[in-house]
Amino acid sequence: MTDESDLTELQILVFNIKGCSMGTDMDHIQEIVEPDRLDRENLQIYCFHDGVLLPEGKTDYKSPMVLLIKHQERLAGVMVDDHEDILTIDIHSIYPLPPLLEACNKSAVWGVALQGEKIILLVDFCRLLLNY
Amino acid sequence: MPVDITKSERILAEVKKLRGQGRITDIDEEKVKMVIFSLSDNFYAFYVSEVQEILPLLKEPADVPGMPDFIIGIINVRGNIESVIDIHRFMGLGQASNTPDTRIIIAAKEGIRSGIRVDYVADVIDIPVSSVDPPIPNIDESVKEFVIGRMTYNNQNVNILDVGNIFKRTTI
Repeated sequence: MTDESDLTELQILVFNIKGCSMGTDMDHIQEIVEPDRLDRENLQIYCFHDGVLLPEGKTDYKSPMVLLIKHQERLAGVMVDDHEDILTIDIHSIYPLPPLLEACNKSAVWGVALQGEKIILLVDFCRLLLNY
Repeated sequence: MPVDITKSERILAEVKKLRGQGRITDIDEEKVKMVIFSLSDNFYAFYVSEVQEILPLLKEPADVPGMPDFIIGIINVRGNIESVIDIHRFMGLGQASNTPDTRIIIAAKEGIRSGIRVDYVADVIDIPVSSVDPPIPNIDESVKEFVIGRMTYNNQNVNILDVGNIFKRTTI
């Protein structure tokens, strides 16, 4: 079991949606599968777009991928788009959401990682599954 | 030698006019510093004591999903993540468009800090405390709760906004 205080790095999968860069903890992801190669029956697949309360409107997925997330014995798929990289980030480069956003936050976004000038919103996929 | 009454009267009239505009003040009079900015062609002001810096809008803030529409997103200010409020939408003044003059005022009060997008910053001035008046009674309902006073700038009325009230309202 990992001692939380030993955490110095976080491995995240970075993907884009509607111009936003999002990152999610690789530890939550069991598998990354192309939608047409999914061979599991009775697997619920959710659209990431809905779970993070992005503004209404049609989202055109350019290169969709399904992330298989296991949380509390529940396995579900979350469809994301345009995944670009797997990054290892120092936890010191992670920032909490600014106080005003923290107070208004209804989504699964829990923090912000900076990679140079780039802002990556960190999404908790386990929390995301609770929203569905 | 005839006394140049006309000239002295002219000077006195000019001095009175300047004092009336708050541009000449008694040396010992207490002053406050204000940031004057524009929203939808009206002037507003913050106390400088509540303003940390004024930034140009170099690129669109990063959108954060699930937020109220008056929160535009977040920006990276030299390694600090700051939220940005669209004060037009927040105060019901319509939608603003970005121009080269658009500025983000980083304001802070009572432990909360955020960027506030404004059309442009007109001035940063010292004014005598005595020239800050109470808000006008018939002020627009949408901005009433945020206005804590008024002043004059370039012969125009300027509503002084309270950063703390704005932040409190955004979190309700």
